Amino acid sequence: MLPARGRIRNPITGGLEFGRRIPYNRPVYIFDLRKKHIDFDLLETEVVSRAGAIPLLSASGAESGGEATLPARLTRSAMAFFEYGRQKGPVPPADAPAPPATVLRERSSGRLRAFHREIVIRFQPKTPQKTRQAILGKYGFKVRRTNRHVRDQVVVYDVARKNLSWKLLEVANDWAAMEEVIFATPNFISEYTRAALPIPHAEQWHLVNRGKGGQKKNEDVSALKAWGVTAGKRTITVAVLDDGVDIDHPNLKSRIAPGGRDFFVAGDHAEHENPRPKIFRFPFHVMAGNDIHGTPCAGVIAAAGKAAGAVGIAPRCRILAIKVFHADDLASDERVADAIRYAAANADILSCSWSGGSTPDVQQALEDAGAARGGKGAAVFCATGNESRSSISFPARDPNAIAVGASTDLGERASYSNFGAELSVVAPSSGGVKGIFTTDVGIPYRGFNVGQAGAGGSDGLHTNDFGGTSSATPLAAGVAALVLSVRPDLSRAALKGVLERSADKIGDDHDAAGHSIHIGFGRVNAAKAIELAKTI
Amino acid sequence: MRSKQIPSSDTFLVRVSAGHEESAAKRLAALGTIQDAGDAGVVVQLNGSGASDPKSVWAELQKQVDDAEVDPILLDETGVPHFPTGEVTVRFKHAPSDEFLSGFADKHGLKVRSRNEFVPAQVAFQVTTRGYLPDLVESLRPAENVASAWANTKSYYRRS
Repeated sequence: MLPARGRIRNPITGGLEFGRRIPYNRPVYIFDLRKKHIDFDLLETEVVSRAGAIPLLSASGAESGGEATLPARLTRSAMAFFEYGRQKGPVPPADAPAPPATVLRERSSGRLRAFHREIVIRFQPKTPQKTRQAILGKYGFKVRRTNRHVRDQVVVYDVARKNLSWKLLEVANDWAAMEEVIFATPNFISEYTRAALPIPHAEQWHLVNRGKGGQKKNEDVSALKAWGVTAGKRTITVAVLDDGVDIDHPNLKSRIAPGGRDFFVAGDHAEHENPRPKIFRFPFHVMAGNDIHGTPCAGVIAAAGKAAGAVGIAPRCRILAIKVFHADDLASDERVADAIRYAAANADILSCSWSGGSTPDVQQALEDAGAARGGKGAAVFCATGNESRSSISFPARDPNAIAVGASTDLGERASYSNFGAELSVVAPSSGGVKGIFTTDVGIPYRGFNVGQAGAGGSDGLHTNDFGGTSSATPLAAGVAALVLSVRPDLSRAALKGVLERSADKIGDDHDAAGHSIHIGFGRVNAAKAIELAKTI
Repeated sequence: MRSKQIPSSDTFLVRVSAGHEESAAKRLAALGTIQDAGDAGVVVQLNGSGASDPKSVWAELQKQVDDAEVDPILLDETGVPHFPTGEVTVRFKHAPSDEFLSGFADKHGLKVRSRNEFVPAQVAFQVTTRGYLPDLVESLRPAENVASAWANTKSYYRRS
């Protein structure tokens, strides 16, 4: 009986510490370096007669009579890779069914892998040759070839063809558990995704906190681990409702969704479809009087990481730029409410790094957002505010919002972060040793950094001093975008529950339900949130 | 908790018609502290009227600046001020017909401004009669097919 699902030991990390680099081990298979095991679904097992196998290996890869499905193409590729039909050994009868090449789909990435009769095994150095032969001989395997760069690594095959295809999993797992073996894995032929994992800028401690300069190691959102599963999908959009987003910023423009609006002005105004920052008053690096707040928020979510710049927590998701404010000018509550409705109709998640007095219309709009996404609801993340108060600002305190506070690079609540019973989660931001490195308004001499190397770069495209609950909110919203990238079917209530249940419990005053008025349910953890989302 | 619009008893928004700004400003300055609120109007905080009935204070002020529109500043449940725009919004239980809206507007001294772009059951009206805004909003709430009603406002938001 073939297993419909299973688990194989990760040959890279099985028994090894994460982060250890194995030289020369350029795998022909793809493994997530951070996981000890790989869960898979058995997708297809083809049994093809030997006579039938060869004609299928056409140059085009297409079956006669139609386009081959991807698993079928991969199976045929695997047959070619393993020199199917030309292998030495006992020759089966001509009419005997050929052993299957097994195709698996890795559950987390959806990528396909096939394998047949080979195992890659790497012995511990100094393992005696006799011991190696005994290990291989246990299942009747012989060495087919030795790795040219690593003499301890060999490709082996079952001479008698007893342990073919899926049975290789058992053999590989058995060998991998031996102390003489560093790893053993079926010799996969795999689908590759030609996209590297995002690389955070060295100053982006909120993504990867390496504990430098007085910071506390790992007080971050576990971005690297999360990105091993997903860095987001373009189908997931986060609306940034703020004072405008620099949609021409070189590190943002590839992530901008069409349809940005300026709701500060009326729908028939010439500027209504232009969500860029517009209001600038001297001094240009101070938030008061300047539209320089939305661009850093957008970068925290989905900056592309180009030219060694900032990378967002969900860099493959998209930003819908919604301008609702002109700096600090009086804003129409009706238009703020309509901006929420528009965003909910055109995005999956809303990020609101601001607060104000409560109004019936805005409150109603938050409720209306619950009907978006085909009834699943658009999640609205709102900043709790920076006044060190024991009450949460509006709209964060509204039951239809998700209230986000701030923690620091020391793993504590930021002292300025408002708190209270409605607090859902916190996310890393300023208030400890360092602020947040993110995108800044790219217009020359405008933005928090007007061109100083020490403030985020002399090109003025980034700032290293963003922060407050303003930065925590898009970070939590971005984590939610990652979750929806793997589980787009989640309702906004379920999404909120995932973030809360998977949060890291920092602080020591959590009640029996796991809630703290200072920390909420904890600090968002992207990796844990994704993992949890996959299980519910 | 539902959002509230509590009329202030000492702070009012005065919308002065064009050409009368200077004379109105002089009269208001004699009554209290005035503050420019841009295109929303002028905010006046009256001297020594804190404990009085908001409606009677409003009536007295409106009498003194009868060439301007006066509305009380509306405070939310935490005391944050909102500045009325001279419009109200009604959220109906069911999207009303144009005919219904026309009759509704006439009955309450309103003029239809627009249906909400995203919620057809929500309609914004201009207030065409000069009166005490909180009373008007209150009179709309029990009306036929009305789910909720509120005064449209502007306010200051804080980017945090």
